[in-house]
Amino acid sequence: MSGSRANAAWVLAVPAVLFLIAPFVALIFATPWQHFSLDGGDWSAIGVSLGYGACAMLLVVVLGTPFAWWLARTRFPARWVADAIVLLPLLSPPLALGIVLETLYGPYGAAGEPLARLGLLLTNSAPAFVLALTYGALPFYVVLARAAFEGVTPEYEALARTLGKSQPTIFFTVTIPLARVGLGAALAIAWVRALGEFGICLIVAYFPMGIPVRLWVNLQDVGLGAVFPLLWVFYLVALPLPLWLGLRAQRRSVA
Amino acid sequence: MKTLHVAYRIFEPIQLEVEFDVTGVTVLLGGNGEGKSTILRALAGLLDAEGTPFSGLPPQRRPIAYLPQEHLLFPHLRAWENVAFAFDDRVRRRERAYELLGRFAVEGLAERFPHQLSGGERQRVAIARAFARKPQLVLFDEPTSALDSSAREAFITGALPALRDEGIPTLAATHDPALVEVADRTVLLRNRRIVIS
Repeated sequence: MSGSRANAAWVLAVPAVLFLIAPFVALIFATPWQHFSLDGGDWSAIGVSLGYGACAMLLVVVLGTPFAWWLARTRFPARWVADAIVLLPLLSPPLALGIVLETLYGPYGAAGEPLARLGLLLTNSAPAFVLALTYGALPFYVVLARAAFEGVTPEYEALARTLGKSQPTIFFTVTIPLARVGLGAALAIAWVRALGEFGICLIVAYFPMGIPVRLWVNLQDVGLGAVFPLLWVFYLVALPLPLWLGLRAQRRSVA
Repeated sequence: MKTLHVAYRIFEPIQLEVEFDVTGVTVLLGGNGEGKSTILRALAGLLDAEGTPFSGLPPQRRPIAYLPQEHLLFPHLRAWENVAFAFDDRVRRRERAYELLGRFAVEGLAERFPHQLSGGERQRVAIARAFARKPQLVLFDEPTSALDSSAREAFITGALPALRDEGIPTLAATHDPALVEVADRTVLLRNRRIVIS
């Protein structure tokens, strides 16, 4: 494409850009900035989302990283089964995921009942909230982390083996650092997905109330105008981590 | 001059059976697809193969220095960190890495990342790193193909004779006939068989 044509091509992007940005512009104008305030329930929801969201991210990384690496590096005939296991929750509506989680972990579920007897209640409890966020975010993390690992040429790992290093050492000193940009993106998307989790929480963890459910309750009880402050806070707490990880990864890859 | 006898049967990715001696600097010549790189990777323990030397040992326990054509250095580590990567312990890592880089006249580049080095400089850092393992055999895969003419000349007249002086058998798989002129032995691979050794 010639320079002048490329310069003129931005016109093609205008409709989509306007469509995407217009609601956010409307939000800026609709927000009552002079009366911007949060009540106690809002602050509690922020604490729940951030605290238990961080716990969920820890579980997502611990469970998802080895699985993603295995998917990226292993070839076997029935691998489509493993792919399907990741895609099934990824492509399911969150509300449906909530129902299937409740079926298994609910008070009368095959896992929920014995776990409740042991003191681990997985409905409307802090562990249930972490379970909901982890289950919703894990498939997104695995898909993106797998792509990040596939981007690391196996030749580096082979070379590291000839330099006397064991597989676990290579994983932490070669594979993870080389995949850090993609892993950072995977974590960022998982974080945003977890923080915004509504459908699963509605079924298995209405309480403790996180930001999305609190927004829903405010919307139902008071109306649209009542949710703007908490909505802004949601953006403030959800977006810095992805932005920070993305910028940090870019800086390190340039260094 | 130390000689290392190589006799290997390779099963994957191609079937190959070879037997030859590596003396001083030995050049392994052959066309594309003949299996030169396969032989090197088998000796490094990275392929399914059996034979002598080192058979049965995993790659991390073979006393070899393997220098592939590309991806010589880890891009996230500085030159000295690349060298120190090969150390078995954490004692005086930086100091020892600088000493090794000095042996190949690249200690001035120690703090640079691989993308800040030329092809020839990267190769010398990789050779310094290979020596951190005290290898009994050095394997080069197409060592001159990614170098400009001056770096290629420096490798042929500088690095290769230095390796010979160290007394470590060196096997270089190559298309480059100029390497034959400085080699102590030439092994020719044709139709996946050794025809001259």
